[in-house]
Amino acid sequence: MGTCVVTGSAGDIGGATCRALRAAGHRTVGIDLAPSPEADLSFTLDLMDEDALAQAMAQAGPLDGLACIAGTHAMGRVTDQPWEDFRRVLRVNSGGTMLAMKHAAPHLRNGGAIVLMGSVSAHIATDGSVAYHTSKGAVIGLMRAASGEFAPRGIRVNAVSPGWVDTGFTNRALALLPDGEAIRERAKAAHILNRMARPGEVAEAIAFLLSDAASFITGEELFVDGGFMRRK
Amino acid sequence: MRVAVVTGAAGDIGAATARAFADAGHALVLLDRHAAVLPQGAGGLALSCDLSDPGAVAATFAAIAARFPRIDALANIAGINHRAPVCEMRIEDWDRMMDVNVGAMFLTCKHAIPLMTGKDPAIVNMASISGHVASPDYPAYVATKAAVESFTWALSGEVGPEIRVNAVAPGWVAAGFTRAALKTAADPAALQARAKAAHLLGRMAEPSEVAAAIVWLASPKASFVTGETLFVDGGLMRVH
Repeated sequence: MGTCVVTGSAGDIGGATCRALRAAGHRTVGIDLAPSPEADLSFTLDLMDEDALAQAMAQAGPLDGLACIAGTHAMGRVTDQPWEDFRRVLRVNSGGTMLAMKHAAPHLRNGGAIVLMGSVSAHIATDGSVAYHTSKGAVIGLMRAASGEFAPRGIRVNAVSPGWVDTGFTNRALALLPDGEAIRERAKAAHILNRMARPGEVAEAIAFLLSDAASFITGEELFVDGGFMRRK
Repeated sequence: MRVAVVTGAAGDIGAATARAFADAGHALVLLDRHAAVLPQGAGGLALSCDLSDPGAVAATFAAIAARFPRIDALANIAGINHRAPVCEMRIEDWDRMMDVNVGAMFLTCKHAIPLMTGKDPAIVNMASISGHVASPDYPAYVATKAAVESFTWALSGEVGPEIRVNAVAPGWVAAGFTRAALKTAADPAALQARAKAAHLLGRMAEPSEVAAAIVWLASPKASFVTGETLFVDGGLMRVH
């Protein structure tokens, strides 16, 4: 088993992904703004810093896999969101993903795999999160485009799209809302499985798509959403 | 030990799925109209059954219940194909397609669900990219595979959160249907080349690659995946 890079590795899903990949025998390299205790090797950098990112990928490689999990969120509507907030969410969620692939590419072995972090938010919308919805739609488009671009090298590109995940990211977003706890209960009920995902469950799907067990899966968005998209 | 029921187990994808379940430590129940063979070293039952016959399916699941305390995974792989454009298709052939590709899945689910009482039981149904694209001369196949997905989504809501229900949708697989299509094609070499080129990965799937996706969806590792269609299509749906 070779090396996999995980961006957003200091977060709950990123940390769980490092654990799942290590359990599958991989060496993991974490990239995040904060140190990544779950990774074998940790780089602390901003994905927008292309020089630092390129250097980290070179030090990490050769690579079997890349999981682009880093993401952020900012509340706001079309009519009231500051341009800087909108742009920051787009830059981290879609731009950071694009740059991670760009700089991992020279070090990825032919036949390797990439997994991007989509979301049900690419397909449904809740009011007040316009930047997040937009960015996740972009990630799914990016995944489809990249799957064709990397196919000649046998590198598969897929996305995992969770519904609500019980993470610090979710808890911080709910804490910003006056009726956060009520929303949490409604969020659980929005899934056929009547709960949010655990970070480890998203991580297992990422590890599967990075593995040889998924050797004929590319250009695919795998929903790890407990049936969220089926419940109306 | 988890118990997996595999229908269509005498076919290429079914046999590969049986092997993959056995490798993952399952006891097997193999169902097919034809004789299915238990993989070497695997324990379980191999039963002949016309899965479109309600009485036969009921009797088969009674036999399974007598042998095993529960069912943990059900993989509905049995399926047939029939080539005929709409204006030339006999209703008897249409009905047969519906009975086997959709009706059999309904019957096995109906009888398996009461036995799926363990931890994180799961059903995986065999859909196809054919449920999403125009396949000239195969309208019945296309209709049945779209129905498999709709049924999967409906059932996921009906039996969740206790039981997860998903589908896999392959593109071209180097298996029985493909061999049959190549046999009747005017120019088999050209068809094979077209089929390979239809996928981003430039080849057809091996049955074992479809099996690996089925076994993953049926495993506790996919514990938050339900109501999903997983395309195992080498990027076919992404190509236009």
